[in-house]
Amino acid sequence: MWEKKIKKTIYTLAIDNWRPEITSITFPLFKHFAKKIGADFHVITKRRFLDWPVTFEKYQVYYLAQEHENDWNLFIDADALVHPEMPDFFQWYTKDTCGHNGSDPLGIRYRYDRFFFRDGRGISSCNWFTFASDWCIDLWHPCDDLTPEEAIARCTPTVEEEQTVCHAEHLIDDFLCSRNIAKYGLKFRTLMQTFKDNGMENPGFLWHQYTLTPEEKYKRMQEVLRAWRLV
Amino acid sequence: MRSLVDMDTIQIEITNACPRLFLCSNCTRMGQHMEKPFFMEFDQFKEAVDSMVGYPRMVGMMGGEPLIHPQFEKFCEYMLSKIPRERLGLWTALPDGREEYASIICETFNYVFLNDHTRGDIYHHPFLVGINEIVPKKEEIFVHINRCEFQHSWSASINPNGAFFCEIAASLAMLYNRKGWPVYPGWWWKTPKDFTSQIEEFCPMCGGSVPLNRRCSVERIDDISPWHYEQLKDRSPKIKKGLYAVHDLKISQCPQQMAAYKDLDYRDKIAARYGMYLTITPDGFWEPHMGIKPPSLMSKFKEWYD
Repeated sequence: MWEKKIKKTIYTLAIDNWRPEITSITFPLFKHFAKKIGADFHVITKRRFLDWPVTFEKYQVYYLAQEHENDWNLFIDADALVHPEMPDFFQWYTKDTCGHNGSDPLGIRYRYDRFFFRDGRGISSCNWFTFASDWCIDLWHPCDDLTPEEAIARCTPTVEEEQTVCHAEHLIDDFLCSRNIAKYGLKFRTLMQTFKDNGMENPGFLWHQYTLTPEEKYKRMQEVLRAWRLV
Repeated sequence: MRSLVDMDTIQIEITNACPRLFLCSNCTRMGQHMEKPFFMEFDQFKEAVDSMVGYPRMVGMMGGEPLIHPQFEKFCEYMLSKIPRERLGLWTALPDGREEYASIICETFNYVFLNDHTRGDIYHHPFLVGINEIVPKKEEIFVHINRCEFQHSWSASINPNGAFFCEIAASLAMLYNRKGWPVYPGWWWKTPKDFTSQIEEFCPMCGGSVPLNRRCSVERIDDISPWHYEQLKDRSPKIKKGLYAVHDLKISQCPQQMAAYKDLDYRDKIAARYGMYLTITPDGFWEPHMGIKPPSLMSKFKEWYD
């Protein structure tokens, strides 16, 4: 049967072979999801933005997505789990709208600037699971009007984040993604809301715990795999 | 406090004997402080099983090491004749020399809980440290006891001394020769209002409800509070061997995680010693099967996409 190819790529970030014990669990699940939805899978392994914290490297998607000529781009943090039953959610999105799994109120963590004030929606990105079409590629537009220090200074971690492993420099990717949504006026709908709208409230297809140490995370991931009956 | 029907399991403890005698620290069964281990008689076991008919949750067979009970097979046969396999669980380390029980285990029990206590990253709570020696005010003691994490997550139990709302209370009863409730059909309908006499008798002498530093399970040393030490010093084989430390009665701000053995392969390796493998049940426990484990979906993904 003839089908027009929709070009999708799933990106993730594992600079310099980051935590192979974790990616040995997560990448097969990403690859399985990619196969299921007819997407390519691409691991960002080399640094490009040497002045920025390493988490900023996910903004390479801005260039890679153009190079790969994608219709849709999905970025997943390398320490997230994707259940094999995760559906192809792109069917529920039009190209004018981007999304993340969830979002928070902006003022909890970030200082407003004129883009946030003007936008008014107060969307705080949880960009561990982020997607946008070629129309919304500015979601990953690398920051060109703040220095790394200025960006970090605008991030204030929550109490839990500060007391665990997530400090201001770990939040800049979320901050800058939030800022791009506001700056470029991107339409936005969370995947959680989309699932709910389609009869699947809290379906549990995704798992990500960013406030754990890698060692704790590895153990918890194994528990999740057991709960998902994959091992 | 949970009612007994709200627990996952009620245990029937058929022995407190264990091949790892003196090799563990802070064993919950406290058998190493008793001159002689107990082995439940068949009639007692029969009474215990009969009493559990109709219990809506899991009925566990536990030790010590239940596989070293000389009537293990007979016990399994009787248990399965009265209670459906879907509600039977076995707590064991699958000790060397009992491999012939593999098939009867798989036939009898829908769940097995394997922990061979050989890993240094498992921590055991010091139950032989009485909260009444640590917390001076009686009213505060019972605030702690009411929130006891073990009563909220572990099991009630039947042993030769009767039925108990808590498996640690059951161990203390064996250690100090105290009686539990009579074992009769439906005893497990008891709710916290019925626990008062057992709570008042056993919980103050137990450390379960208070945060205490835990000891690596393979350290061999038991932490014992001064009161327990006085009671046990002249009769405990473990104390006589010097394998104890008198507790400083200090509360811990950050007790170690009890069990850090949840990696994927640990239980599979233990099961493989008996030619068994485990699968996860829909309720998140482990079911035993004979044979070699088929590849998991995760391992298939790894193979497909590498």
